[in-house]
Amino acid sequence: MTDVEETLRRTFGQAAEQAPGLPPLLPEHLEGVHRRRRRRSRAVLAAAAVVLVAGGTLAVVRGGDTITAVTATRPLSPKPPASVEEVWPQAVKKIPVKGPGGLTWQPITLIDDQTLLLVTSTAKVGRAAALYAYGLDDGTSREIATMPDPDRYGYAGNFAVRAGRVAWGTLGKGRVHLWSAPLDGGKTETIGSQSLPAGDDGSGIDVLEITNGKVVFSFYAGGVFSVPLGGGTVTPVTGDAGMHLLTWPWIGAPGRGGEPHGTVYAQITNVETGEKRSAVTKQGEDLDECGVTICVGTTEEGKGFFRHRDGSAHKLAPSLVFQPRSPSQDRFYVSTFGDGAGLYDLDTGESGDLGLRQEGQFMSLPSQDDTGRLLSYTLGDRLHVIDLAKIE
Amino acid sequence: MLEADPRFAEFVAERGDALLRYGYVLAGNPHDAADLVQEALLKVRAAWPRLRHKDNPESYARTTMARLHIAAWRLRRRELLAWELPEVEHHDRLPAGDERNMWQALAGLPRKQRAVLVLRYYEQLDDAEIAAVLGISRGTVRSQAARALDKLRTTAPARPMTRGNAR
Repeated sequence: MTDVEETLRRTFGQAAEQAPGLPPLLPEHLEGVHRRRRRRSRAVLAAAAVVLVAGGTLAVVRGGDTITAVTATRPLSPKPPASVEEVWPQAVKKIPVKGPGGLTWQPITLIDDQTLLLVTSTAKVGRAAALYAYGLDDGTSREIATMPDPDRYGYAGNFAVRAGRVAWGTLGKGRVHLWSAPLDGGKTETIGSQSLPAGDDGSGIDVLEITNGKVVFSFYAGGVFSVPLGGGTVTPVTGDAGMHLLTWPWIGAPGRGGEPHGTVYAQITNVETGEKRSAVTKQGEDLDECGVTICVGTTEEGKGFFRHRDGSAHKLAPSLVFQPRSPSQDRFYVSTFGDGAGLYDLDTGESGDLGLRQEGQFMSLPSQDDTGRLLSYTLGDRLHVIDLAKIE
Repeated sequence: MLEADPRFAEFVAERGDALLRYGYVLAGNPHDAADLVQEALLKVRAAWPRLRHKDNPESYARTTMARLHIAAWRLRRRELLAWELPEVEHHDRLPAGDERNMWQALAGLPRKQRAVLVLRYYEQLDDAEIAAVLGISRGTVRSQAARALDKLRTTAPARPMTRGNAR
């Protein structure tokens, strides 16, 4: 044994004794995380029904987004001086947590400046789950469509809105079914179906979007497809079975599903022009996910940052950013300050307290819609919705 | 309904600290160590119903941790660490001298090289066992270890004469 080897042995032995101890309740926490992952990796769409009832966990519907977090010993954001309602009164609305029939509902996205699209949870009480348009100004709600029979077609999820229509998918046995309905009310139409790809673990669709008269979607297990919005044959957009829809016309890899495996959407391709883009990563940092232009990551010191995919521009947050996507409107992000969570504006430095507080070692955080414009969360008996586009 | 498995809880209570010590030596800092342990224990939990008596959950966890570590795996913010870590500057708690120099020099090694050294000198595995744990060839184990030791010889020269002697 050489000197170096002998020193190594001693060093490892001594260093090991410096390791911190595990907390007494760790097994319980791990069980909790394990249950959440199981729910997620099973039918993401079916999970919607289960999880929506629990409330505050909308992100699970979209599959695997951050919904709860624990404060770790890392840099914290400053505590906001006032609540989000006080700082940005024009952007915050509080609406009932239950919709028509007393069913819990969850926001999906904004249909326009004053109309929120929501979906109620399952038909356990003898009433079909349905989509509603809710007037944020007058508090009225209007049914848009009822969900197809879950026993026959599976549970619904991946809702997308464009061009006066809403489209979504249901995850049935071995296939997904695609649906569409007019936003102003009318007949729900089945527009196609596609068998699940090899390697699907029951998760189904990861991203779905309406574009140019088509519904484009991809699977957690990979593969991008499209079908005419008016109904027709589902056809593959690309021969590459490992690709995921980012936002039309961009597709990329890796996707969001499965175990952590590098920067999500590090490589993207424009399927209309053939342009390819890669994300610039730097040694020591953790680049979580990229959009078409902006990437979100964490520095070695545990500070969140936002950067152009090509590395050209960079914004550093003072602490961890709890948001898997690019900053909403390129400005806003959610972070924690000790035992609570706040909304922070990178451009102006303003911040508002969301009112969410740590419960035990966990904290609920707002869900972000697919457009990045809407944040929503349940606090007490009110559903808080924040339209970030209404902040000047 | 999913029930918590009391045998898994027992396993974590009995072996968790040992896994964290191993994670700390592998990763070199308490945060990444805790991340590695949490992720490995979650994999053990997921596999628990399939783990038979002859399977060793601890060795499964240790293999998982080593492989996660060399895959440059980092916890995505999907689940953060489920517990608080004490704020301690660990480097400073190592006794001054060879060990502290070595610990700091280890931080400069690529992950795979460090993992090979940990498995060889902390876990006391032979090269064939290391190859199996990391899923690499025995030749790679040897070359990675040799490269790592060379680098450590230059960055953290052992100074046997100073041990026990006043400087």
